[in-house]
Amino acid sequence: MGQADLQAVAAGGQHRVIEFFQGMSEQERRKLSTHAFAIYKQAEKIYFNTAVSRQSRASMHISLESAACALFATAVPSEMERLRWRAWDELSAVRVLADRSPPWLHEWLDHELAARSAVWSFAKRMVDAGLCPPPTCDNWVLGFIIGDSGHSRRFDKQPLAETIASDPRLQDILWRLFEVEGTQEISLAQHDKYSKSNAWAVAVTTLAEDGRLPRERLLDASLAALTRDFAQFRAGWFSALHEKLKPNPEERRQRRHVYLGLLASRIPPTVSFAVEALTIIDKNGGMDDAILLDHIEPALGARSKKTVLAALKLVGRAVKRSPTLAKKLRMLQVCLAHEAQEVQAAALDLLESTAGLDDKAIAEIVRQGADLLAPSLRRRADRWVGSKEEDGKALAGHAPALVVDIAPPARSRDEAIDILSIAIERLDPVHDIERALDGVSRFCHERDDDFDLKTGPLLKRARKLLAARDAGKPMTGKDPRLDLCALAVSWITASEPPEIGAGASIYQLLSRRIREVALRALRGEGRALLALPTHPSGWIDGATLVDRAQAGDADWLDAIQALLRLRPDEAVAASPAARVVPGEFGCALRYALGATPEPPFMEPSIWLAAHRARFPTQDASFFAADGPDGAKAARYTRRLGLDREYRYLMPALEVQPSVPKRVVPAHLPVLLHCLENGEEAERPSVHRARIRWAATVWPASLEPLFASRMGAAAARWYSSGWGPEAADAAYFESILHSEAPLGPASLFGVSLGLETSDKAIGVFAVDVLIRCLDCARLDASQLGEELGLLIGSGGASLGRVARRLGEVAAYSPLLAGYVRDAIEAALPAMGDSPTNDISHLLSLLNELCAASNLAVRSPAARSVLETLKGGKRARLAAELLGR
Amino acid sequence: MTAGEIAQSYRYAFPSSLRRRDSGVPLLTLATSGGVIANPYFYQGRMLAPRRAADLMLAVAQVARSRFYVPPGMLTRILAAADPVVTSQRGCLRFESLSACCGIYVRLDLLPEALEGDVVGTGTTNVDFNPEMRAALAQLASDEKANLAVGADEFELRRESGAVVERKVPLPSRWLKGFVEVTAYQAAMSPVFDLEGGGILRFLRTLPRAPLGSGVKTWVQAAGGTARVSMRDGPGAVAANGIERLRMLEGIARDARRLRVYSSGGTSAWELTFPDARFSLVMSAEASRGFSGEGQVLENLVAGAPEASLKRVQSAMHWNAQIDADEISRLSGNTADDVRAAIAALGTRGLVGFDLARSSYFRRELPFDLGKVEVLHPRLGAARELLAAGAVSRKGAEIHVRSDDLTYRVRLQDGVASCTCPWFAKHRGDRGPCKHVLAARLWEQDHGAG
Repeated sequence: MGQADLQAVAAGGQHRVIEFFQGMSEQERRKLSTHAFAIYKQAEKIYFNTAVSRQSRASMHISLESAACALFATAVPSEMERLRWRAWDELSAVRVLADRSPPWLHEWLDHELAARSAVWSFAKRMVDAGLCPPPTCDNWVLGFIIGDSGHSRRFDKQPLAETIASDPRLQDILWRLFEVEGTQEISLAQHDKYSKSNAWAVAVTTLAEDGRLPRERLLDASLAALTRDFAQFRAGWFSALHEKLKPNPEERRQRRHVYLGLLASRIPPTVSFAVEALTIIDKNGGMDDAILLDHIEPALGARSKKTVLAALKLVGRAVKRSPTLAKKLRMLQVCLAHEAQEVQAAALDLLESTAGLDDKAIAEIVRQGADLLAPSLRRRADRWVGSKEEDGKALAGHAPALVVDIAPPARSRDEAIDILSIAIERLDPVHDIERALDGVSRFCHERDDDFDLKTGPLLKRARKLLAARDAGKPMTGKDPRLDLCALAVSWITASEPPEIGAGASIYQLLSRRIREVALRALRGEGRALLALPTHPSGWIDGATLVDRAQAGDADWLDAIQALLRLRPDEAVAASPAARVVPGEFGCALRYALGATPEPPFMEPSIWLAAHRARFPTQDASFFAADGPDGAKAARYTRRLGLDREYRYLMPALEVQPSVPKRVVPAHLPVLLHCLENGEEAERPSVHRARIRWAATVWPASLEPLFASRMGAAAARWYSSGWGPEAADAAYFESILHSEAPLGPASLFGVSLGLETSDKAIGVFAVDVLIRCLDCARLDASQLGEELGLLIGSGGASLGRVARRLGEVAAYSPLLAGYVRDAIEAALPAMGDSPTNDISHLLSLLNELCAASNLAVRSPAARSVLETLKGGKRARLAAELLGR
Repeated sequence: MTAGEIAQSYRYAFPSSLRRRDSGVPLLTLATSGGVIANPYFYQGRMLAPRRAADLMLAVAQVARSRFYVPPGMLTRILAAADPVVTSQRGCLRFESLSACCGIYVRLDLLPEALEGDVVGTGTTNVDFNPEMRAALAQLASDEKANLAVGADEFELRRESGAVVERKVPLPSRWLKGFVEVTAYQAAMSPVFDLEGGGILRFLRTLPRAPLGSGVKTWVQAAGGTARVSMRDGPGAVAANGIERLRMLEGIARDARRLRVYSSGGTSAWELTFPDARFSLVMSAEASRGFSGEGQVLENLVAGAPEASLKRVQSAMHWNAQIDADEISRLSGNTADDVRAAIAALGTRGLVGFDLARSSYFRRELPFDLGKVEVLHPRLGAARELLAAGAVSRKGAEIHVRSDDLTYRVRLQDGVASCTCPWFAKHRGDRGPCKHVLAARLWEQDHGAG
């Protein structure tokens, strides 16, 4: 019998296939296995190929159901393993296998089910049909969680409790479910998360309440599950079930040894669960003090403040009842190093109040944890260990400035080729992009015999990247990598570079400059670039630019960019070398360096760049340029509102004058206000490089960059609920690499960064504050103003703000002082009805005042503190005022 | 089984277990597979701090079952986890494992203070960490007296013979390469800073749960008795991208006395010291970069060492907790430099590991067929092909390597190599040499440096 014959049988449907193989010997079946395998493969291919038309599928006449039946009737496990088989019609497949009854059935099913939970339903049919015993693998047990539906029991018509009660097998399986952890796809926790009404926990509790499931066994099994090495999410189901069963004090007392064992669990919520249970037992007098103290130590090292405080209470009661056990309080050292001041204070309270501990013993315990003790508790600790001078260990000391060497310009054509290759591949550091432009510009006229040999790999790579399927067009401002590739191709093949794309954004400036260099290479006029930075943040040293300018005419955008990057230096302005730089560029250069402006004022672009390099925030009247940071410096207005209904922050940043509809591409400071709205480069690395590069266009100010981003993006952080986008991190990164002072726009971004729940942006914000406060790019009053905005909004998460400011303060005593002053300056912004979480900032202020032994000095802050009544904030206010 | 996979069979004579004997004292029996003999028997004794030892062993097993990075296109593919490896030496039991993504390597060294018993045998083998045993291990109480057996003697084997455990795991070849690469990285590391006592947990608790974002670079810097994650490089900062991977230390750091941080390039090692054990975690330069793709051993593979010298050094290495190069030099008759080169070459074959705390190699023979490791390095294979095709020649100070109709210029100066290929331009040697540099090195071995 050939494949065509078997195909004809299969075309008759699965019933025809079953009839055909009925009673056939194993030997005969094996002869047909190759054909059956081929038919199944073909049927599957057609079924899943969406390109095949319905007619073609219909013309096959063979359904997957019948093909699968043929496969089951003939194949052996090794053949089945070669394809992702599926019993498309499970009933028919079971009939086929029932008739065939191969000896490998049980082992094969166990193996397949262990590898693929999707075959559970088929396995169940096989077991139900009595063809093999229940599989032993975990997936067999787990499959019962979701049952026959394949996804959840939430749509079952019968309540799950009734299903369990009526099915003895399910009752047996239930106990196995306490031993099997489950997977990401199937577990009791996963099922109940989305099936509240027909949840397993509800069903089990109902059955226990009705007496249809043994309550004692459930209590034991749920605890036993917690002692297994289950993941946190899945372990949570068992602790929740245990509590749902509402064990009474006696039931808990009987299980106290299990609870004690759970104190050492690696799952924090399980530790908290055990502490709560032990607290109940302890309150009912069911705890042996010595045993409790032998086991409690792991709970004292827990992360959760609540858990540690509860554990401390347990310890306190135990040593009070059994003073001879006080020597075990050595384990309180870990509490003294806890992040929360309340935990440290509670541990100190316990040590000080415990009879049976001598001063020497307390001193020994306190000494071990003293380094990390909150400043407000140090005086208490000093009583035991004596005050000690700051040895610098607890604080990092003055933050050393980051010294970054800047790579020199290319010294040869070969080096220029290397630099361009590296810039194309890495785009990092962005200074390499400028070095690559400078290298090509310098050596573009050198084309000797081995030029093709040496540029061959670069040319091939550039062409490959340009031709990539997902590559866009070069010279559009979208992707500097493509622009550099276009430059490489244009230079090496001496061909015209592509035209500049439409639109105007700051990123297009880079494309324009790259094209400018490509055109120079085409002309073969080698010349060093004027705009190559001499500092990593983009600055150009005045004397260096004067020196470069001696070489005669430079390209237009190169000259403007060079002026905007110039670091003013009056001494250089007056030098003989500066005086001989010719033309209007020479006049603008001297003006930017510090001289008085000399006419002619013919080219506003040049004068604008020179003026902004020297006076970033002052207006000018001797040239015309529209838009923010044109002739008029940009003015920023910030607001931080609160959505009254959903309580999310609504930041807004406006810039005046507004950006004109048509921006002159050579007006670089104005162009910096034009980012592409919502059009980010596809690759994060490319986007980051673009932003880092844009931050070097005007090294004296990052304000336009932040204003144009934060104006729209920050509002989206909150209104969308998604928080900052990946691209936002690059803006913060640019502050870290810049030397510009923080202005209103960038500071607004940083203060929102302090508040945001995004971990990465939060770390960036802390880094920025450390760096900027440390090198005087920011002062305490500016920071205080920003904190005032956050406090005044009434919706900012001041807990997060305080935690991050605490990190800044921990960096050095100098920064701690700035943070203390900033909080003090910001306190009046809380007004008459401050939010409860103002206590986080007050707590930090209290610690900083304690560390520096200073009181709150500002009268405005003191008067606001005096108004606070009730609760933790009033206690902290009193402490601050009494200092 | 794909081309990049190697079939590894684990055949355990019985499943590992933690059982209470009649006396009530729990006995942890770790089943062994492969290595010097089929099911070696290494250790029998008491665990002096069983709870801690159990937690640390569970952490080793957890890494073997973890994937910290899922490569695109592999979301649904589950790789069978490899079983951890144990090395029995005089005075030390070392458990090692590598995550499935090859980006995290961990090693637990149980020191003599943790154990009281006899080293029955020495060598390296796989150990079975099955779910039942892990669950039982998690229940071990700190005040229990527990015994530990790595392997079993003949009597136990006969008694347990009814429960043979056999698993076939398609180990990705990159997993094997990863093990070898980690040794090369560790050997180049130096300590940067220490944290002690409560400062360790404080730092670990500040770590993010999820990745901080694509391409975001992170560093860790000591500050105020603890450490903080920063986005900024600086003096004393350790590059630690994919920092969320470090969070797994939080669960075991409670009793740690010291956290010592080592670094080399973008790779870092985090070593927790306990009173009786050390737990080291080595983290690759990025979450998406497994150790297997790094190519740090390629230079050693090319440099090699004479086979005779390798054999002499290997036979002189005892199963001590550390390898003493001077002692081996005396025993083998090789110079100390030759011995060091030979040890590095042995590292490429998985025959030695590196102990950062002692700053020395230790003998360990991975129970895998590492003879294939060299073949598994496509770059080295491609370099040999270029050499065989006569594509390498010297032009002045440069070596020209012709490949795909293009000439790549390789410079080898003062041990530093560079090439004009895009791969080298992208990685700048961070991920080992490119095939052109390797071809040039091989050519220089034959023709001498210019």
